Amino acid sequence: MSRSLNFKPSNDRATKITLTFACWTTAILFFLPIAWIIATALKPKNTVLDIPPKVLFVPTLQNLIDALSFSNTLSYFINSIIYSSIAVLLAILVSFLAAYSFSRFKPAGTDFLMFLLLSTRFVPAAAFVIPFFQLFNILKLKDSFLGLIIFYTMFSIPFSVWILKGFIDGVSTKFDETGLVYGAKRPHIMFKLVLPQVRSGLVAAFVFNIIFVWNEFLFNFQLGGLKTYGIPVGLFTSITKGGQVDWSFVASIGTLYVLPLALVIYFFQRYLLVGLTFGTVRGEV
Amino acid sequence: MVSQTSAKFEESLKERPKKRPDKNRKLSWLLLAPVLAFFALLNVLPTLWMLGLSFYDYTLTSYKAPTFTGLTNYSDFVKNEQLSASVSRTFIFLILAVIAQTLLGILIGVFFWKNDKMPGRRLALTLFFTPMVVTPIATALFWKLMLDPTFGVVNYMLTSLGFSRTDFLTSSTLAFPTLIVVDTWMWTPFMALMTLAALGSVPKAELEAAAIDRLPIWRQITSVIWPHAKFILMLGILLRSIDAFKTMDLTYIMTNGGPGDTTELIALSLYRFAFKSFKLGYSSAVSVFLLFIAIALTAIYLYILNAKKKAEQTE
Amino acid sequence: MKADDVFAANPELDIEPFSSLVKNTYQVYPDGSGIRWGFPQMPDTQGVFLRKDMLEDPKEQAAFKQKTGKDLPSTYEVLSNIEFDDLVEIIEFFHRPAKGMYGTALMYSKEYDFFSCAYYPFAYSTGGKIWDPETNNVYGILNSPENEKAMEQFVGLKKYQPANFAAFGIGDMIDLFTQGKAFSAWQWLAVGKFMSSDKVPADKVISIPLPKWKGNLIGAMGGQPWVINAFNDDDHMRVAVDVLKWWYTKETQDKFIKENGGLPWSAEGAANPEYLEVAHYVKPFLYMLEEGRSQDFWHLPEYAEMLAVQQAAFNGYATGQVKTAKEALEYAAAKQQQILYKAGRTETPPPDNVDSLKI
Repeated sequence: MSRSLNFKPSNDRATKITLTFACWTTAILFFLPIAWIIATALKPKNTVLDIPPKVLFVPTLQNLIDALSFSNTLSYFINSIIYSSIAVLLAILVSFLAAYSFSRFKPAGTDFLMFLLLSTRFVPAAAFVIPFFQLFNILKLKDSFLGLIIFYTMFSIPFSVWILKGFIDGVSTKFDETGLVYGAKRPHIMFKLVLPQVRSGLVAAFVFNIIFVWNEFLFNFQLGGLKTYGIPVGLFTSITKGGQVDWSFVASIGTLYVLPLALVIYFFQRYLLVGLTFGTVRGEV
Repeated sequence: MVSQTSAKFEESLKERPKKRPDKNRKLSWLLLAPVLAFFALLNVLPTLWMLGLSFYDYTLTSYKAPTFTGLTNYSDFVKNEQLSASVSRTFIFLILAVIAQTLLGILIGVFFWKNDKMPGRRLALTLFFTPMVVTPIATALFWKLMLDPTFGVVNYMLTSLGFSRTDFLTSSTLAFPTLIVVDTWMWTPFMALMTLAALGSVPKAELEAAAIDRLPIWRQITSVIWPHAKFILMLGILLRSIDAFKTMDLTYIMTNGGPGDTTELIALSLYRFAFKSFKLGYSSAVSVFLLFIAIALTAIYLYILNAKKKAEQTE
Repeated sequence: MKADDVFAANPELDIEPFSSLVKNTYQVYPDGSGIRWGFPQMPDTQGVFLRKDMLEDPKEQAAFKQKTGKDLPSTYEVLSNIEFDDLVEIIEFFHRPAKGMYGTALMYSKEYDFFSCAYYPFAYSTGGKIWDPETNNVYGILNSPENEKAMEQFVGLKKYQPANFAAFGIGDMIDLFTQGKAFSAWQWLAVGKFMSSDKVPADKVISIPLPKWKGNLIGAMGGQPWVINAFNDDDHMRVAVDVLKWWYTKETQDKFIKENGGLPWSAEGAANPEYLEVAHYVKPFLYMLEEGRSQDFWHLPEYAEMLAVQQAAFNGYATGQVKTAKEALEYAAAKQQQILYKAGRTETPPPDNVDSLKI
């Protein structure tokens, strides 16, 4: 079997060794620039621009401490955590309702609505910022957690609906029907029978959207304010100090940034993969 | 775990939800209501607003009140060859970057797929995925530093290996390809992830059968893999294309559209109109135009997918 | 809101500036109206930072004498009146790329106004104009032979700089200079405090005004004022004025200038001998702030758009995307004329081919 090419996971020892080497090399190559950022964060500040670059050095936590104690960095981190987690959870809840409806009842125009939802991603953010800015000023939502949470909920809905619809499609309608026959109420069916079976989808939607919201910059910058700025804004507004890029600061924030996300990816990896199979729906657009 | 959902899916195919009687109609819309409310408030409203603004001469820094000027903004935009150049440049960027990311992503994805029990696979994948999750504000800045001819580690390595110092970001011939390389670094992991998911959506039994039958590799791809995997792969390509079309952080931070305007992509021009010149009417017109392009792109992708699906169903 | 109104209620804030440049650059709008809106915060002018230790090195002095037959100047008195060509000769002498030491660094970046402000002194000092403030016309004025020559001279200095010179902005110059990679850097004097490091300590650095072009010199103005938002509610308005009162106290200004690299711009501050002793960059700053020694570009709401157009074109010339300085200036002038014409600031339309012009 090893001699013919195929897409089955390989069992052949030689192939496996070669592939392991190739996979690890690739992973390390892709990770190198990030590793460089982390290394810079751990270097003494005055050696960052040294050429030849310092590869061996005594690591210091000073840059990380400085970055966290600089101005509002810590509260920006906390803000990011607050608005991203609340908004994504809210989005997943309403998306589950919508996805259930799309999947089970197929209301008129389902395909079109799904397409419209995805269209939120179409336009460069800069195009939408101005209407939002004016809207938020009128509604007095600027620089409020409520405003940001509403915004990021919308921001997270399309992808969540798409993922969850796929997963719910994959749950047999027999569950619903049996439930109905035994006189169960609809909420019971949805939350007690169907929901537990789409757990992977829920986690995948959560992980994906957390990454997106956590990284979103422009809207946070324009719609937020000193009370509600998140960490990308905290980074962007403090890149230069005294006219010069503060590399240690950028590297430290970058490091603090990648750590929680890397942990999420490491521990929720299978959900990421399964989530992206959209419950293995195919050709269903 | 992937195969379980596949099995579920196979099952669900046979038991498509049947159209339910009308009594469920109310419920269905009730369940949709929250999402639709969000959508109306935060999507429809701003889009209509933008559409309206696009017919006005409205500049925040001007002493003139907003005046209705019909299609003037659109004709200004179409006439301006500098902008058309930046639109076509954006398309070239999109095509080259997405092709590179897709091919590389598929290759790497297949490697990881074939080697599903390799030691430290989870860690390797985590490291591999990091480029796409760190804010481009940080990664783009560091690429700029790493590519710097004087302080950059890349040039340091090039020169110590005997190559000449290369000026990646300020050479009018190299800057554009360099940005494509960095974008590819950032997004190949995403396409590899989609590839892994796509392969996961192929029923294991079919893969086994194809391998046992010793089908030629090309036949395996066209008749076993593609029918299952195409939805996720194409969705990956679609999402990447839309995002590549919107690329801004990368160009803004690494080259600011320079040298000259050789890396000026349309999203960056739009940003300038909106936030440096405060020409709200004009930038809205450009946005509407971009919206149409993006919708057209999506429609083409969906058409390809659906056309194939219909063809299969009639077979 | 109008600064004049604040001054009427708080006369102590109305501080007499060192020269009319402060008033015209940071306070008055529209030009010539005398109506003041801004409060001077951090006025800024341009200079050149040089490695004093290299200039004073006897071995270098001897080698320079042997090579050129001239004395290598090392004192502020001589250097502050240096001619452009003489400065370039020194830059060329210290340009040793093989040893990782570049002769100089200037700003050519497309970012904000970096290229433009670094280039303007070359144009202004050789008779170039960038527009006519009376008629708001640009075309035919910006694209002049003087400006073309000035731009060629400005970009010509690339041969003494690292390969990525065209990306240089304020920060890149600081990095290059403070890491000991450049003998000199043409830089805003307000960042003077940051132009030293543990590798290049402050006592090895000297700063001077920009050189002269056949005895003439007009630099560009930088820096920024405070302004008060007219939409503030009463509380914010009061706090804003309180901040200004705090800012202009002797103690705050003292701290700003002595510890934070700030620069004195008031008549009183400039006369304070203590301030001149704070650092080497104070003297050239005040020199450049003398009447008529520097000027600012357009004070128009359309400025951002005009700037973006010319930054792209000029930077294109620096990187070779645009073949000649003439083309770059032609493009910028036509597009800027169009912007001003559309905004209703001038009656003169742009040339007919303006829409088909490309960089």
